[in-house]
Amino acid sequence: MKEEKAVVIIVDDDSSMRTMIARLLDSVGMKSISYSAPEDFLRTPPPADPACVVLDVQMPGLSGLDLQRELAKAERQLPIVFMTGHGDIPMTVQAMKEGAVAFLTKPFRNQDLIDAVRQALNLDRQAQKQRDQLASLRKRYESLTAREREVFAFVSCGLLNKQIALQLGTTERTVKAHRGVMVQKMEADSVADLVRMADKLGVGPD
Amino acid sequence: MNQQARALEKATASAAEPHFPLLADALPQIVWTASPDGEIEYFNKRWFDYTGISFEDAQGSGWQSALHPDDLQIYLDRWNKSLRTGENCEVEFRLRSASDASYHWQLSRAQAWEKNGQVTKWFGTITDVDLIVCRDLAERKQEEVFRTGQSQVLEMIARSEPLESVLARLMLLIEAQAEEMLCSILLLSDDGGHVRHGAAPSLPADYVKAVDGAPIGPKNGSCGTAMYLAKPVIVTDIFTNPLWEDYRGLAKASGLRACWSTPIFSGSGKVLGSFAMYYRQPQRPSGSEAKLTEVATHIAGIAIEHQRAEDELRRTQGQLAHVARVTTMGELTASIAHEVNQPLGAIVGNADICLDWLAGEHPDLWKIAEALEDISRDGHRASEVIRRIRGLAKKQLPQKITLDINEVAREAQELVNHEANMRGVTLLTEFAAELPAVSGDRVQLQQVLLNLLMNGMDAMSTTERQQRRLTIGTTRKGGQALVAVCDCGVGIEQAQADQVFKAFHSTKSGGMGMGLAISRSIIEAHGGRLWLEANSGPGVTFKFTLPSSTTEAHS
Repeated sequence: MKEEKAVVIIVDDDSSMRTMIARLLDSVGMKSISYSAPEDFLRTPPPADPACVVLDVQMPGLSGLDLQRELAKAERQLPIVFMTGHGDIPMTVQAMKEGAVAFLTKPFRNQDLIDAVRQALNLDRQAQKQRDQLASLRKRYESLTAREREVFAFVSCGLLNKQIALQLGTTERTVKAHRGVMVQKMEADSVADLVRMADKLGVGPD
Repeated sequence: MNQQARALEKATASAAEPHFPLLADALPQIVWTASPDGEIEYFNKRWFDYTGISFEDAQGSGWQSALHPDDLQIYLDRWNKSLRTGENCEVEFRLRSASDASYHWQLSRAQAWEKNGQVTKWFGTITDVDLIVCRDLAERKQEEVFRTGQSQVLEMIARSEPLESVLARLMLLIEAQAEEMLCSILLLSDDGGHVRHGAAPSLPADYVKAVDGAPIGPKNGSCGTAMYLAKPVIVTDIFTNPLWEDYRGLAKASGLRACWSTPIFSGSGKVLGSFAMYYRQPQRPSGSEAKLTEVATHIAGIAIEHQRAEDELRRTQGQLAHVARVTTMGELTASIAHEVNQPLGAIVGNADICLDWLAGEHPDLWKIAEALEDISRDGHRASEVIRRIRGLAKKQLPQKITLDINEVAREAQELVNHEANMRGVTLLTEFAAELPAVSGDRVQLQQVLLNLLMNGMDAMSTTERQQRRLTIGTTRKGGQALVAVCDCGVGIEQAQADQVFKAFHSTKSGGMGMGLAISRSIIEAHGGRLWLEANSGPGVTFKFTLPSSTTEAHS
């Protein structure tokens, strides 16, 4: 089976492991990119396609857990599958707490890695969908005028037109006109819809 | 002497008699008389024959020219004292002989003749004792050479020279003290049942070889029997003595005829071996050999016990070093597991991929071959890691071989490579290209390096991650190889600098405190030195030297 447009990023200082994992992913039709050092990986821009990272915990320089923390700071949060030569429990707990998809102890079963990678990619696809939705929502929001944004903010916290007019020092008619345009631009079906959008955008009345 | 004294007395009594000169001239000694104030009155003919000085020339102090200048004052002091007190005068001095123009030792005696408590005359004799004195001197000289020889052997023991060379030297020393005598030392084996070669520098090699490993017992030649009975065994004729029944042919072939053997005892009375004197003809002890035997067995006993103690010490040190090594490896288990797991993980993964491919419809054999090559390479890699670790864990006596110290350092670095990664330490190497070859035990030297590297990493546990640099460097220092391990850690206070090398001194909670003490004893056993220097920046540098294997061969 072919995975549509996805890439697995392998970060391991051991070349044998890198080669083996790339070969394994290739055998199930997955594309991969290998890095021998976390620093090299951090220097390259994140892929646009769905992606995940297969990461060795113990590496010279930046450790796997350090890398996880670095990645968490970025906007594009890639799901991580950890590998370790000898997993100790505190390390596993910490990695999982910080959002690792799986924690595999070497030597692991190939199927376990494939399963973990698929799960990670699915997570990233979902995240991507959400990211896409948010992006389009933001674009719609950005198309609003300043007055329309004010109306959006008041509507989304449940104010009636009359109350909004009072707040803005204008007439109910004018508010109604702004609101009509705003709802159209935001492609909202209901007030509830608007409330959810405001929540996602983190928008509220000043 | 009595005879002489009587003759003198008689001569004195009849000194006035006309036949006294005749009598005196017949004596082999010089005879003289002098007045109470010491003026020479008479010399017999022997004086003129010996010294070539006429009576007239001998008058006053003329006779003094015949005495050795070094002895003259001593003689005059004594003679003047006798003149004052009337006491007998007996002095040895050297007198010049006219015939060979050289000085010979003489015994001079003078006695006063008194009448009514008054000295009326002095009578004297001068006897040639040169032969006796020379023999004495020669004996004294020989005695001194023997004593010097003994101290030299004792020095060799103190310097821990090999037992065989110490004993061989001792045997040569003993042999030099007696004519026609050959000496040997045999050691009692650890199981207490056999003789082992000790030293026999003058015995035929075939004989020495044949005796090595022979059992001890009640009828086993002189030495085997002496060790068995813990008593001296004197065989005056090997051809007839029943103790030698089994070894007679061997002795005959080697031209040995008599053998007296004395057991060598330890301080606690245990038999350590035996000392034997051999002769090429039947020989009975004359009694003079007893002292030689005592010296030989005493010093040999010291040498053997010293050697045993050293062996024991070496064994104990080896065990301690082994324990320390295993402890260090215990600290490295996480790293070791990682280093083995890494290739194993790849092997298992690749093997599973191959199996999946082979189960498919059209397996790509090229791809499979590629994966199999990787499997093979990783297998070798894993076994290499295990070989290195096994080498360290193995319990064996130190073996000195010629080593390239860079190679030893590189191996030690590989052992801690992963540990350094996990601790965020950057390992740097600065190896000099041309280093003298050193002679040493690879495992022990690796242990020292491992210890210094682990200490260096421990010292940097609180250092900023970017600054955790640990450098292993090698350089040439004169004829020696110098190895330096430099960290950027917390450093060591001056007052602590010497303490760290002491046993059971530890600044770490988990430390045994033996690492540096053992490291130093290992380096010193290799003829080198281990010390530490504070860096100009943060941290310390541990340095050790190892002598070049070629210069060591000279010393």
